[in-house]
Amino acid sequence: MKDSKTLLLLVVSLLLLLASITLLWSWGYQFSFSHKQDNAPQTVPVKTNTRSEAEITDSLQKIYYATLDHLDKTIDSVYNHTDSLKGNLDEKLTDFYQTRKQITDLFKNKVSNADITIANQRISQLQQRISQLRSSNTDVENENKRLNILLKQYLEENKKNQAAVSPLQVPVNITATNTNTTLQENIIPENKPVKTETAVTQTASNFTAWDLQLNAITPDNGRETLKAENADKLTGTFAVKNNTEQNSNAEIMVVVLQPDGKTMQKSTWESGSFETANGKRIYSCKISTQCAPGETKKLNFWLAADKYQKGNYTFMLYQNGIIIGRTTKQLS
Amino acid sequence: MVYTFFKRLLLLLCTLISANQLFAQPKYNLKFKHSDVYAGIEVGSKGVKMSILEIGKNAQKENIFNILKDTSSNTDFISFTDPTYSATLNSFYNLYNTAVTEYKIAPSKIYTVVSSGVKVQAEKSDKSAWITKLTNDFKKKVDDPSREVAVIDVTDEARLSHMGIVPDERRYSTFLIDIGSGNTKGGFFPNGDTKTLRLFELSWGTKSVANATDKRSGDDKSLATFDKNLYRVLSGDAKNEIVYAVNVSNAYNMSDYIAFSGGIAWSAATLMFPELIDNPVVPVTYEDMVKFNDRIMNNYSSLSDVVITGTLTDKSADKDNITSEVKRVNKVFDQKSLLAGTGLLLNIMRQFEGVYEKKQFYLVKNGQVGWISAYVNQHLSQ
Repeated sequence: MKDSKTLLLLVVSLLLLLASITLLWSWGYQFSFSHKQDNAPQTVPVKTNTRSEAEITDSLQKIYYATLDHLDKTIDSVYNHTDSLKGNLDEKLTDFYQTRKQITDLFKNKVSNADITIANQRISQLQQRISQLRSSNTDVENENKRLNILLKQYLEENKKNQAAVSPLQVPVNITATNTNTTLQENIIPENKPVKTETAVTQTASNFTAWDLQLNAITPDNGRETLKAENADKLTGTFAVKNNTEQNSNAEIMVVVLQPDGKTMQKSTWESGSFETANGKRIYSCKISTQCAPGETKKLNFWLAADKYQKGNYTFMLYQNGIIIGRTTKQLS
Repeated sequence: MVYTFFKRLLLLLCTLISANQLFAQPKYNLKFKHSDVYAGIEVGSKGVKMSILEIGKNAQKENIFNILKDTSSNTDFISFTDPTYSATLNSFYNLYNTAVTEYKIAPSKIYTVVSSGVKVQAEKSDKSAWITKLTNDFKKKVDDPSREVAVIDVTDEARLSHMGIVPDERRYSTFLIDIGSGNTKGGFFPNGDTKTLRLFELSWGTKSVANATDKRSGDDKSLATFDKNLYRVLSGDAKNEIVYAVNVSNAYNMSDYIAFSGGIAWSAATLMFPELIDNPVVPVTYEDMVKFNDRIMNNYSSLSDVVITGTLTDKSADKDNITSEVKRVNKVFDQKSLLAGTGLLLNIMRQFEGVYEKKQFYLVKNGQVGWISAYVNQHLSQ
């Protein structure tokens, strides 16, 4: 009995000893492992700056979200105000969305040093794009303001002109200096509504023309003649004014209709056809001119034919396919 | 007695009328105040061609020609076989005879030549003796041993074409390009005189582009496949050759005006500008030509004579003349040939479409007879 008790105590003490050894070993192992980790240089991350990874990511995210917030406020107005700059803007917006996606992808993945550098670059790119978008927006707004002012001025001038011209008068842009000038004479059907043409001129053509003159010249002394058989050349003069606020290059189409309705041509190399609201029309010759804003220019031309018909010659000027002046000349 | 008198009078009247009919000049629709009528007979690669021309000065005092009659017969001389030789000789003689008897043109006003195409082909095939034989046989046949039958070379032909088509005041600022069926040639005068011509040549023409495209298309003859392969043909070897030839010619720097002649220029001018039917030359822009190319592809029916004359707004336009000319174009060029020709034309035009400096393009309708008129003028001045 006594022996069995002693044996039990011995076993229990052995077990306790074993448990204490295990505990001591585990503490020792834990201590030595953590010590090794602390000393091992390859496992310790190198801190490149004073901020921790989490801090860096957070600050980048802050800049990113702040930039996005700012952009969201301006982006709609940019879209609404774009017109001629829209193509450019679309490109910039596509770039912006691409950059934003790249940044979002970077935040989703585990962050490394290289990723942080890329994220920094992307954010600065994003900020650049935003400043470009902002400047485009400003350009569009400025252009809109300028056009609005121009439109107002134009409408006011239009009102004044309409008030100044009575319905029976010659249109403002055609000052008939030739005694033979009558708007009813030799008017081809497509140009019948002279008032309409003038109205179109006022709204669509940048140039006005006046002082149209067409004269027949004799071959010997270059004097003016009214007889068809004595004519050698037809010479024409007119004045044009640039009504825009910009330097304008204009192509003025000169059309001289003979009494039989056919267009008199300077030469086949200098004549051609152009589009009008009423279809194609052949021009006698084309005069290119450059005018400063508000500038007036006196221009001239000459035409020659083998034979001159008797009757009315109609001299018309077109710019941008719109008639800007007309007169007639009679040869007997 | 009275009966005999009336009988004699009637006989005399009949004789006078017959004589008048026999010796009277045929009625031509002459354009100029001071002009003469000439005939040019040319032995070309495809056959013999005769043009009756009115040559004179217009109101601008330019030398100018007006085609009164144009006729040809296909004899295929460059095959250099006995049957084609005989056919060519007979055709050459018959056309000469027609000019003398029917059109009442004096032999001194009839000019006979052999074109550069024949000369080049004869030299390639070592058949130059056939040309000498043809000209000798022709002289015997017309019984005129002193008659000159000139054999023109490529440079001469290009120079004469320039002088016949381009007016004097644009002589040294115009680059003339003739787009033929098998090749393209032309040139300009770089030194301010007509002695030196800078020759421009391409081995591509309307027909050769169309043939190469057909070959690429294989069995699929659809228009869409043709168009796709045309782009490939013109983007490949043709483009390289065009870019190189234009650069080497230095024409971009030396010319203000680029004038195109040849069949495709005539057809494009006729279909694009029917209102200018009487004008032998029409101005055109690169954009006009792009639109026309698109119209051939997507709205070909709008190029029919009925639609074209129906859309004319100029009441003075000669609708009958326009109808017959548009019909003639549509007979010579089908949709694919027009696409091939305008494609080639656009490729050449693109080389002159600078960002800062644009050239003025022209389409010349009667380029094929331009050199004959210059040849006549040259002989008259001699």
